[in-house]
Amino acid sequence: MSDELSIELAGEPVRLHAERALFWPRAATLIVADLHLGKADHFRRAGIALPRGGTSLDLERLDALIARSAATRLLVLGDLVHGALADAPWRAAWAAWRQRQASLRVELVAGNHDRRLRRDASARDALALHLHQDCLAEAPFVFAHEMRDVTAGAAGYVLSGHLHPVVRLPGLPRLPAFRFGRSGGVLPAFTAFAGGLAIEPQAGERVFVCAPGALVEVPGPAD
Amino acid sequence: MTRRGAAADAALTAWFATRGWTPAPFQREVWRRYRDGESGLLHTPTGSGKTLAVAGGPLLDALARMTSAPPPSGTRRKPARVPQLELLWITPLRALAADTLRALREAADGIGLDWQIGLRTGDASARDKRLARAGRLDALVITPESLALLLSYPDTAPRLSQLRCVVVDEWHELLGNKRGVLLQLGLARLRALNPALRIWGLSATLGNLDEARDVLLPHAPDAAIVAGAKPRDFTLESVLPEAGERFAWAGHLGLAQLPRVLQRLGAERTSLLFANTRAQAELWYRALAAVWPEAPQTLALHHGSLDPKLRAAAEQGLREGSVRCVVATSSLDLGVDFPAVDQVLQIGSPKGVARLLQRAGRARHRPGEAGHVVCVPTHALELVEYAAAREAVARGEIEARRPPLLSLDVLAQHCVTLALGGGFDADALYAEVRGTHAFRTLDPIVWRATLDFIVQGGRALSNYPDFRRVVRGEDGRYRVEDRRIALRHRLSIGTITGDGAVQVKFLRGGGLGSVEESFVGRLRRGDRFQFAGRLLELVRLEDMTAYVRLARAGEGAVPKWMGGRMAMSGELGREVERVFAGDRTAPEMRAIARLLDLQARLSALPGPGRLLVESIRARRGQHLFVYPFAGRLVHEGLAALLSLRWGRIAANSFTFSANDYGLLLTPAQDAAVDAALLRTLLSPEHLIDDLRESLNLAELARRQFREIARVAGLLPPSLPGRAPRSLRQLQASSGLLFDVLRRFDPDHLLLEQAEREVFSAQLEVARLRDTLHDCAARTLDLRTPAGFTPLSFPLWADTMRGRLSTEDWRDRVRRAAAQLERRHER
Repeated sequence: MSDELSIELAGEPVRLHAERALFWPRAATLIVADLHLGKADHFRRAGIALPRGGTSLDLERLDALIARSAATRLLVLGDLVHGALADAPWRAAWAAWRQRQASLRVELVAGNHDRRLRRDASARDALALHLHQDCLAEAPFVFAHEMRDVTAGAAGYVLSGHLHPVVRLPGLPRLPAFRFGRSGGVLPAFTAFAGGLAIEPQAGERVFVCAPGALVEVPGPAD
Repeated sequence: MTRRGAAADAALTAWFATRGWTPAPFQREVWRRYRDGESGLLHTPTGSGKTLAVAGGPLLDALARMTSAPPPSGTRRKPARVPQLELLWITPLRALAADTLRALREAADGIGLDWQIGLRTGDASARDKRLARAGRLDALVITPESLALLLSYPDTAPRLSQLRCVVVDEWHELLGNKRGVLLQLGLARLRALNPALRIWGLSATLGNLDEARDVLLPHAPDAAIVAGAKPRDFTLESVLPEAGERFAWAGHLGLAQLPRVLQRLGAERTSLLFANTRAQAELWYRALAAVWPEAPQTLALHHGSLDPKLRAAAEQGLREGSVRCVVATSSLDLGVDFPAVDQVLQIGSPKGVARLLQRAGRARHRPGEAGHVVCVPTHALELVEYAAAREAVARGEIEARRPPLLSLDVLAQHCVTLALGGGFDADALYAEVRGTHAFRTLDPIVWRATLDFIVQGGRALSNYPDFRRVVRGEDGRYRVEDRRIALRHRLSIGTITGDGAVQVKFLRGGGLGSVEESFVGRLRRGDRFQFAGRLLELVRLEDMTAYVRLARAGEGAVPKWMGGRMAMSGELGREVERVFAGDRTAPEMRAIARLLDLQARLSALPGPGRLLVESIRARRGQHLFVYPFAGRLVHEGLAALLSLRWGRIAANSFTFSANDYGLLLTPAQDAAVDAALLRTLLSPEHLIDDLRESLNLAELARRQFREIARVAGLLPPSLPGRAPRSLRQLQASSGLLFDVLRRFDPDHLLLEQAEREVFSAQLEVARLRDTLHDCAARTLDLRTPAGFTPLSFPLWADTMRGRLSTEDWRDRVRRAAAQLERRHER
C-alpha cells in the first residue's frame, strides 16, 4: 500500500504509516508522538471557541492503526496530554477508548506537557497507562520525548518527538514528516491539531512526508 | 460671510493674522457648518490647512463658552477648571498623532484657550493614558484601536457621552479596510451616547467621495462634502536610460539605476525614496548604504516591520533635517507633515493613481507648490506605467476605495469589547450596529450566530463544552466576567494582523522589529539575513524572538513579508493598455520604443477593445498567455478558473502564474488552443460555481482566515518576548484552527466569512466578473510567436507559481519534491 513503507533503522525493520505512526514488528509496538489530548478543551476553557471532535478522531485513527498492525503495545513519545487532567471532556473519550482497547498496553515516555501525569500516580492509573519518568532503552532503540531527555547511560538509536517536523514543498501545504538521521530520528506529531517546525532534508538523512493517504520519501542533497 | 460669522471667527482670524495667514474660504465654511451643528466630510490635500479647518469649530465653540461664562468675580482665586472631553481626534497612524497634537496645542494657545490635550495611542505616556481614561482632558488624539480600548472600560462611557466633536483624519486610509469597520462601530457607540455629536471626516481625493461620506455619516445622508484647497499640480518625471543604452531583453533592471538615483539624491537636500515592499526597501537601503558618500546616519530606513523606536528616529531625523534620505514603504504614505522633504522618488510600479499622488504629496508640503515625483523603473515595462499614471492624473481617474461589508470578525470583537465595557443589551446593540454602513444589512439570524459565537462558542452548544467568554446575566445583559479573558481581549484589540511575527532582538537587548515566523523558521543558527538595514546573524530562536548579532561580512537573504505585494488598480491597468496602443510622445514611451517595437514584431501590442493572447511553444512545453490588464489578484482568480475549465474539457494539470498585466497557463500535456476554446474558457457564466469548485478556493480561504481568526479572538495576541505560560499553551496557527473548524463545525460563521472575503477581497469577484464580461466584448487577438515576447517573459520567469491538479497526493508530492531537487541542483 502506498500509505506505508518498510525501512530499517539501526538494522531493525520498522514500518512507517502515513497516519503519522511507526510500527516496530519485533516488539509488536505501535509508536506515536505528541497526541496533545484535550488541547481543544484547554482552548475552550480559556475562551477560544474550538469545537470538540479532535480527540475522538485521533483515538479512532489509533484504533485503525492498531487493528491494521495487530500491535499489542502503544508507546507514546511524550506530550500525551495538553492542559488540565481533571474533569476535562477528553477524559470520557479516553475512558471509552481504553475499554475498547482493554488488552492494549499503553506506555508513555513523559514529555514537557505531561508534568501533571508525572506527579499524579492515581491519574495514571485512571488512564490505564504506564509512565516512564526518564527515557526508555530497548535495544537497539532509546525512546525519549526530546533528544535532551536522553540520559548519559542510555545507548542506542534515539526515537523522539516534541519537534513536530513538517516539510514545505513547492505548491503544497505544510506536511508532517518523519526525519531519520544517523544517530536518531524524530516522529511527526500524531495529532492533526499541532503546528510544526519546518525542516529541510540534510545530507545523510532520510525524510518521509505524510500526505493524505500517501507516504513519500523526499530526497535530500546528495552526500 | 455674515457679520455674525466674522465675529465668531474673530479669535482664529486674529491668530491667523499673527502668523501672516488668512483663513481660506473652505476653512471658514467648515467653521460655519460646525457652528450650525452640522457633520460633514472635507476633502483636501495634506498641507493645505485641513487640521485648522476642522479643529477651528470646536476650538471657537469652547472659547465662546469660556468667555460667556466668566468665573465669578467675587472669588480671589480662579476655581480649578475640571476639563471635560469635548474633542476626539482619530488618526489611522500613530506617527501622525504627535504632529496633530502639536498643531492642536498651537491653535488652542493661539486663541487663548486653556485646553488640556493628550494622546491615547500605543505610544502615549502613562500619564496621558491615565488622564485619557479619567477624562481629565479637553481633547484627545487617538487611533481607532485605542478608541475600542477606551470602550472596553466601563468607567469611560459617561465621559465619552460629554463629547461634542469627533474628527476622523485620513478617512480614505480607513474607509476600505477592517480598521474602518471597527471605527464605524465605535462611532455608532459614540452617537448612541450623544446623539448631538458632530463628526467631521478628512479625506484625500477619492473616486467615491459620496460613498466615503455615507460610510462615515450613515445617520446624516445629506451631510456636506466640502472641497478644500485646489488640488496641487502634479508632475511626474522618470529616470530614463541614457540614449543608446539598451534595456536587457528580459526587461529586469534591478539595481541598475542605482548611480542615477544616487545622483538625484545628491542634488536635493532631503529625499523620500518609496519602495513597494519591505523587502525592496531593505534591498535598496543596503545598496545605497554601500555607496553612500556621506555620513552613514544621514541615510535611514522606514517600514512597518521595524521597531517603533527606529521608525521614530527616522521621522525625527527628517524633521530636524539631519537625515538626507529615507528609504520607505507605505509606512510613510500617510500625511505626516515633513516640510523638510524636497523630493520624492518612487521605485518600481506605481500600482495606483491615488497612491502615487499621495506619495508625491509628501514633498514640499506647502500649499500652492506642485507635487512632483521622480520614478525609478526596476523593469522596462514600468516606464509604460509611469506614462499611464501621468495620463490618468491629467484626466482625474482616481481609484475608489470600497468599504467592506458584514465583517463578522470585527463585529464579534466589538461585542466582546462592549461586554467588557459595562455590558450590553442584545436588542439595543443590534439596532445600533444596524445603523452603520458595514452592518446595515445584518439579518437577525447572523446577529444571533455572532452572539452564539462569543457566548457559547458556535451555533451548536454541544460542540463547545466548557467554553466561556461572554456571559449572559440574569438581567439579560452580556458581560465578560473572567479576568484572564478580559486581559487577553484588551491585549488583542484592533484589527491589524501581526501574523506570526517573530521579534528580532540583539543579544545585548535592543529591538530591531519583527519578521514573519515562516521566514525565520527556515533559518538555522549562524545563518545571515538582512533586516533593518543591517546584515544579521541568527544566534538563537526562542519564544517568538530571534536573537541576532551583527554579521561581519557576506551576503544574507532578505525576508519576504506576506501581503507586501500589492496589485495594480483597474483604473491604472486600463490606462496602461491605452498607453501601449497610443502615440509615443511621452519620454518614457520613446525610451522603450525598441522594446515596444519588438513586442509588435514578435506578436502584437495590447490595446483597448482587443484581448491579446499569446500561445507559445517552448522547450518545456506549451504556454498560454492572456493579457486582460486587470491587476494581479484578478488574474490569479482567472488563472484558477481557466485551469479548472480547461481541465474539464480534457483531463490535465496546469501550473499558472499571474502579474498585473496578465496570466500564464502551462498545461502538463499539450492541448490545442483556438479562438473557440478561449471563448469557452473566458465565459462569464457559472463564475461563482466554478470558482467554488476550483481547488484553490480552500487554500485561499485558509490563508484569509489568518486575519479573521485574530480579529475574532481565536488566536491569542502574540506578545513580544516571553509570553506568559497561559498564553504559550494557547498558541496555534490560524491554518490549524481553520482545519479543525472545517472538520468539526463546517457551518461556522467565520468560515463562511473567509470564503466571502476570498471572493470579495482576494479574487475581487466583482472585478473578475466585469473582466470576463469585458473580455467577451473584445475582439480576440490570438498570436503564436516563435519565442517569448517582452510581455510574456516576466510571467514565464515568475517563480511564484500556483498549481491546479487532479492528480493524487502521491504524484503531487513527488512532483513537488522533484521540483525542489532541481532547484537544489541549480
